[in-house]
Amino acid sequence: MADIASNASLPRRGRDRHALWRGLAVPAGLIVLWTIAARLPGNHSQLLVPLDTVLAAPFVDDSGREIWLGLAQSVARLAAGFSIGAIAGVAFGLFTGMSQSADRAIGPSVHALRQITLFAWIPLLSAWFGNGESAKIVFIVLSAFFPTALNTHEGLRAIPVQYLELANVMNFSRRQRVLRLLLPGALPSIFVGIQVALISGWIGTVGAEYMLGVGRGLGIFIAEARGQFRMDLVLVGVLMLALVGFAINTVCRRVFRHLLRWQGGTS
Amino acid sequence: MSVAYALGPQPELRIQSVSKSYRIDNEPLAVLKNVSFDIAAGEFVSVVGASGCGKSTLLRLIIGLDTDYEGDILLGSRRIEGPGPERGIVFQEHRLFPWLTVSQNIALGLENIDPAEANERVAENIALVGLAGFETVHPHQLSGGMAQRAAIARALVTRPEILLLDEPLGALDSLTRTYLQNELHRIWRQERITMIMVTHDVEEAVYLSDKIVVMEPRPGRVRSIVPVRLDHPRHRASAEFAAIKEEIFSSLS
Repeated sequence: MADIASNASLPRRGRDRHALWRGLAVPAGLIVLWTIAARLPGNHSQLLVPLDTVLAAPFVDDSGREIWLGLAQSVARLAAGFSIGAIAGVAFGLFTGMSQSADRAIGPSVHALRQITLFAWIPLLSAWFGNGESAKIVFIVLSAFFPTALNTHEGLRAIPVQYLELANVMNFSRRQRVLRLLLPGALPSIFVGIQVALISGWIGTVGAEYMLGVGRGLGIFIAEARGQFRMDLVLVGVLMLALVGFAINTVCRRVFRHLLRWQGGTS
Repeated sequence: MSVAYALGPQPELRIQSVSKSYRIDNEPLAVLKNVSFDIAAGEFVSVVGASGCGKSTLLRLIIGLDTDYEGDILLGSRRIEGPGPERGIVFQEHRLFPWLTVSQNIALGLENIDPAEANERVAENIALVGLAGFETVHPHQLSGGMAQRAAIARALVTRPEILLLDEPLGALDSLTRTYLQNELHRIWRQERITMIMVTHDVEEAVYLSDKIVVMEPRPGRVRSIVPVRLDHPRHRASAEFAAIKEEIFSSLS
């Protein structure tokens, strides 16, 4: 095995470390500026609270502690909406990606619908489904559906023609063609779709909560805090929103890299 | 060879006045014109020619990827109308599926037979191409030469009668190339199957073949068929070897 080259990832890891420090420079600078501004004599504004007050809010403040329940509700909502949307999206993408006639029949309609900005659906959805749980879930389903459908479809289309030829020459059965070639070949792209869907589903979750109100959730927490001019709580909410997004990206990247380790260092 | 001829006087593969043209801007463009030659069972035949002579197109017709042609390509008495298990192919690029290990790639053609027998045949063919120890490795971890060996094993595992080779060593460095030429010769000897190789390397063709079909381009036609009656192992530096090379080069130009 000595002549197998597999240490191509080593220099990249080294570069990553530097990139991380460089990437931290701007946020660190902003935090310093923020701290200085908030501590300037004469600042008693509720709109500019120091960082430590913001960070302590979810633990010491009674209204602040509400964020945990809201977060749990939002994540549960995301899980429900994402599952439905992603499964439907992958299934739809597989269908249009494998069948030319299906693609010609429904592809254009889907592409037209996709052009509609996601949040433009909200008035329509609230008219149809009200302000309750179902309108929010449908919105999350939509935000997860399009990225997965599109990326699954593109993943199938991008399978090299050389592999398809090989499948012909080797007389692949239909089952073999799907399980050994089409699905694994489209997998990297499907994973990209799933990651994008999780992020857009998360934005969709908080956005729908914020705009529709009613019930619990991180978006509703932020909306209420804003109504009460509690900028510390608004900022905590925004921070939490970003943290969940960051976690989604990190977990996806790790899990998918592990599942796609057959790609070697090329991706 | 005596064994092969003992099976009967019929050539294994018969290419009879094969013509093929594509339509480009509604103008027919002839790629192959009236190509005819026979290949005996167990023979090693090379097809050489300048690019554009249609040698790779001819191979696509024989493997059955393209069935839209005039004339006949006869396998025994049957006209080729598509791919079949009696023909295997190795392309210039290995075309191993990157998501499968070496042995999974080689086993692709055996999914409808008894798993125990499939495993045995995969192991046999991995040993044949000298990849023992690399069964669980993914293609990205292989060198170009090793990947091409795996592709040869994948083509041989279904026990085809004819192995088609489309510039199989063309993308390899010259050392690996010389080495794999010897390997290819050994495999041909050991398996006693018919091999048809398209190449642009005249020396490679003379080194390996019983017969060399020289083609000329626009439209692709057979210019000459040169038999190579040298004993193996052949010596590239010998006068006879050089003479045949010279004959082919003069036929090419």
